[in-house]
Amino acid sequence: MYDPDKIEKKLEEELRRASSAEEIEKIRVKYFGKKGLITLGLKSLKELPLEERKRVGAKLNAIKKQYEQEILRKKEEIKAKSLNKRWDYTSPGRFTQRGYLHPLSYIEYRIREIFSSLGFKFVDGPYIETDYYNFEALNIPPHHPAREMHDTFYIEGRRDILLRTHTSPVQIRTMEKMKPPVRVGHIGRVFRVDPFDASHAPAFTQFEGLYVDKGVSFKDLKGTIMHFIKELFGKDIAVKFLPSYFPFTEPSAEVYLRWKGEWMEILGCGMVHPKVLKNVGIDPEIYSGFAFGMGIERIAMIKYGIKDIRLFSENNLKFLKQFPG
Amino acid sequence: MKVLYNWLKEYVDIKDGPDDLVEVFTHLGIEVEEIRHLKDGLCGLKTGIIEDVRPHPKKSDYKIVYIKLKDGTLKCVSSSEGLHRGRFVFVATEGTVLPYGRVLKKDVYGEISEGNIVSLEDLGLADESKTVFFPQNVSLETSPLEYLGFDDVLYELYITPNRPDLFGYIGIAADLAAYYNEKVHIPPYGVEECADIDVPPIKIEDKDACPRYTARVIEDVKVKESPFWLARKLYLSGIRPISNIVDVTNYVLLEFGHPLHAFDKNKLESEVIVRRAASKEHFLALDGKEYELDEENLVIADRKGPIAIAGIIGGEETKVDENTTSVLLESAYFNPGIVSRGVLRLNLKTESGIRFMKGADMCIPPIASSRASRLIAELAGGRVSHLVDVGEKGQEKNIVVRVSRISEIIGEEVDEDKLIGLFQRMGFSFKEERKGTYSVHIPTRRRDIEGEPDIAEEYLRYMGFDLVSQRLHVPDDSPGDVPLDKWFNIKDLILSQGYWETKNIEFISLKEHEWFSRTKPIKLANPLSPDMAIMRSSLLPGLLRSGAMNIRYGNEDVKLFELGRVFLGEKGENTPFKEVMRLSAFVGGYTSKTLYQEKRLMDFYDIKGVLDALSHYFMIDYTLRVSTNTLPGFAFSVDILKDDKVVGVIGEVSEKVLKFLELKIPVFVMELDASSIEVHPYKFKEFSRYPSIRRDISILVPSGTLFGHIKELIEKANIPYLKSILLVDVFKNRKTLGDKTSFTISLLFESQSATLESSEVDTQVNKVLELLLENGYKQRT
Repeated sequence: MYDPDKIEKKLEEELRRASSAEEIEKIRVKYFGKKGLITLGLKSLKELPLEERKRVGAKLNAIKKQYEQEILRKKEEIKAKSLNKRWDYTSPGRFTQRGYLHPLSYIEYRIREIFSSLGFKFVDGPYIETDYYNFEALNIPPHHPAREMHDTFYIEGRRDILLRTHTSPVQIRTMEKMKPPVRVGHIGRVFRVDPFDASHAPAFTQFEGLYVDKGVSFKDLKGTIMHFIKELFGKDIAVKFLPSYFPFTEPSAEVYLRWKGEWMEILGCGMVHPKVLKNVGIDPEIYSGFAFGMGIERIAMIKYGIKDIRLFSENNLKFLKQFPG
Repeated sequence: MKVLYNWLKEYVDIKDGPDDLVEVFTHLGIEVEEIRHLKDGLCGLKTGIIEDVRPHPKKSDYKIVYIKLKDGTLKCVSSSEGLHRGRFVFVATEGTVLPYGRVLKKDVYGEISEGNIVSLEDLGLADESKTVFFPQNVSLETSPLEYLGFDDVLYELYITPNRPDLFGYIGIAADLAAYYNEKVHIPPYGVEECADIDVPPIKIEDKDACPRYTARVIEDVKVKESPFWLARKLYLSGIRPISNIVDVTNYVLLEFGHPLHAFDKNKLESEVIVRRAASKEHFLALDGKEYELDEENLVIADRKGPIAIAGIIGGEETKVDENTTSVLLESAYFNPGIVSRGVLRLNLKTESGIRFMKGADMCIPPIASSRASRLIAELAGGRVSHLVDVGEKGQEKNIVVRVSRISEIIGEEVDEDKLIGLFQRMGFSFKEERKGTYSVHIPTRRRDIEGEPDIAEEYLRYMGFDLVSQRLHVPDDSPGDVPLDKWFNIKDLILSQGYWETKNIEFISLKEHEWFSRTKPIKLANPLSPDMAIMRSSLLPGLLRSGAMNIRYGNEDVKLFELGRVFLGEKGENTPFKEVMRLSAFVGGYTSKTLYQEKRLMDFYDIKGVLDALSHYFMIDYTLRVSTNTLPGFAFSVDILKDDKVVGVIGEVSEKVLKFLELKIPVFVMELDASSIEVHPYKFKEFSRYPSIRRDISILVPSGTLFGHIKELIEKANIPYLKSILLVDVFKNRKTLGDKTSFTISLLFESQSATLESSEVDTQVNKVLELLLENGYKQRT
């Protein structure tokens, strides 16, 4: 006797036990294939009396609808299980290894970002300079004692041509071309006759800033420097200004910040010396300005806790790979 | 400048202790480079009296010395002379730290020595002293630290070049006096002059180089060792004590910051002349060296010849020694320029030279002379002549100060009374000309004060920078977003290709220059070493050094780049030399074996990939051509051309360079003028909406045929719908292909107006095959 309920029970039981795609396929064929039990049952309905036909027909159609779906679901479930084994999600993915910027470049771009948003335009200048731009125009005439602070590399056979000892010549070159308001920054290399050791290098990088306009005072200098330091080192950093000396600024100051319990000198700054303004044809009675300069290596050393300046030019991959973007 | 705390207190009442004084110095902009408590480690130093001296039983040059201390007796083994019963000595007991180390009990040939009887050298008060130091007028109660003046602190101060006045105690005292609102105690300098003493005539021949010269004679002096207090102060200040006369000149140098010189008057020939040296004039200096002078040097001379290089060093022939009885004391002002040139030309940095170089005080010579004469008379006896003072007297300086201007510089309202009060304490005097405008008289000591900005600086220096508030001016036209520059875009692309950014030093060797450049080398006059003697004309030497170092350190794959400046030996526009930006890259080593990639030696195509990435990303047409004149640094190189101009080079590094770099694997580099990389303004082009069809063909070519040649051949034929030609496989096999190579080329077809029919594409592919066959390249079947 063809009993749909019995068939359903059996189907359910078999399906529950099935654990592979093959078994499920077998079940599908067994029940829903061309010669499957349900298919045949549906085909042979017409042999039943009308009443019976209705009842069994409805039942068989219901089973068909329910279990065909169930089989699909079960199949996917088993496939997913087998896929779980196929993709070892702990294995490495394929990706293209990207290099990193040099840490000094990060600091450089960060500085450019901060000062660009204050309206500073970045300008360039030569590394091999004349005595005039590096010294004389900056109020450091020949035999000025301040020249001692700059142990200078000279070009062979040229007493007046040298490797710039600071980025300040860019101040002169800029103000020769541009009249106030002048608001410029420059980042580049400078050179001193200093053999390599942990804290000295014959070539290092400086950032120079210059702002000349009517009514610029030490108050503006302080505001700008404080803004910069807080952007770079965080809002809570302690900062102090101490008197210092540079021939091309007056008053001059050195700025220190408190980092890991120690006061670290970070930059030199001051109000542009009237003689410097006069040298580029700007009237110091009308205009005033401030300038500042700092070593990028020094900032990177403080920020990243690097103890040896030589690491910046050694280019050891074990070092370069420590500074992701 | 070395400064002793207690000595400084002789000139000003310091209200802070030695440690707190550091803060004050720092506040005033005087950097304290080092602070040393002299008594550190010396607490075990004791005063003792020798009770007994016995011979050492085993070693005849040693003695056993029993020394009575305040609290017991000590046994010392010593080889020093002069150890007699009843003499007082200082003994370093166990644990005392002397310059050469900690004192311990030790066994000297079987006898235990419980301490060291100290010499001045042991105390760090002499360079060399073989004998034990015998203190005078002491008892067992005497504290050695007090006697030696070791309850003191030594500062090493960094004096900025604008403050030569701080190279003397009185200058420093003046700064502190203003800070503490105290007075400077100028040491007594009055001296009794004897009218009967003749002073030789003084003649200044070069008044620019020597505007002022004063001289005095002191007769009947007795030259001997200086008293301990004087020798000690000099020694701790870094000046070796010599004799009472010489030591006094140095003492006054430290007090007033003004150098003096004492000649043995009896060794002088009649007159004193200040003149330029003659060319090749020889001079035997006090340091025992002979110098050859020229017209750049200023000398003090007598009739016979130079007796001193002015302001720098005295002469051996006229030096004061133990037989000297009459002294000529020089106190002069020499021009900083002339002294600088002398110091640099002769490489002779003396205490005197340093001070004249920085600019001395032209008003001080008579005072310094009187002070020294007085001290000489005190310490060496003698009678002092009148002062001969030749030349200028030094000018008083006045400047105009507008208080409003000081406020403008600082950005804060300056308190007029405070300002005037402060400067009066510093010895400035203010005379009001108009309301708020003053004529200010500057003390001659302060050579650095020239105008209002200096006054503003002094005000800030004393009042502190905290009085200034902050103002941040952001202009209206400031861009909120920062445009990244072109260099950043280039770097970003190269980084994305797996290259690491490097920054190399701008110095290379001549050899490296010749390997990678044809420009004239820019040589440094004073290089640190031969391998840092040339300004780099190429980034490759530095990049190769870095690359090779990383390979030697065991990195498998080394891919580096630098975007930096090189220096060409020709004049630039408004610059001494032409400076240009270059982009260079380096590959060397093996690609690492990973799950998805086999290990392989990196080669030419890796470095070429950098150029391909650039041309692809920035849409630049670079063409390549085998270099006709390969640089010595390359084994093989290809020129990079843009618009028919050579803009760079790619190649394999030569054998000798590899040897220099200690490398055993080939490495490849590229260098490109960064100016050739332009970011083009892009224009939209209509693109095809129809699918493209790809067909691969394989052809046989004689081995060694360049793919570029085949590609050019096909391109020139202008095959319809052909959009791109790509080499996708290169296959060689001696057995099956002989001396032929198989190229598999992928052809991509596309139409702007319709979906291409397969038969249409076949027709075009056949055209390509026919064309290749005509040129002798058969299809591989």
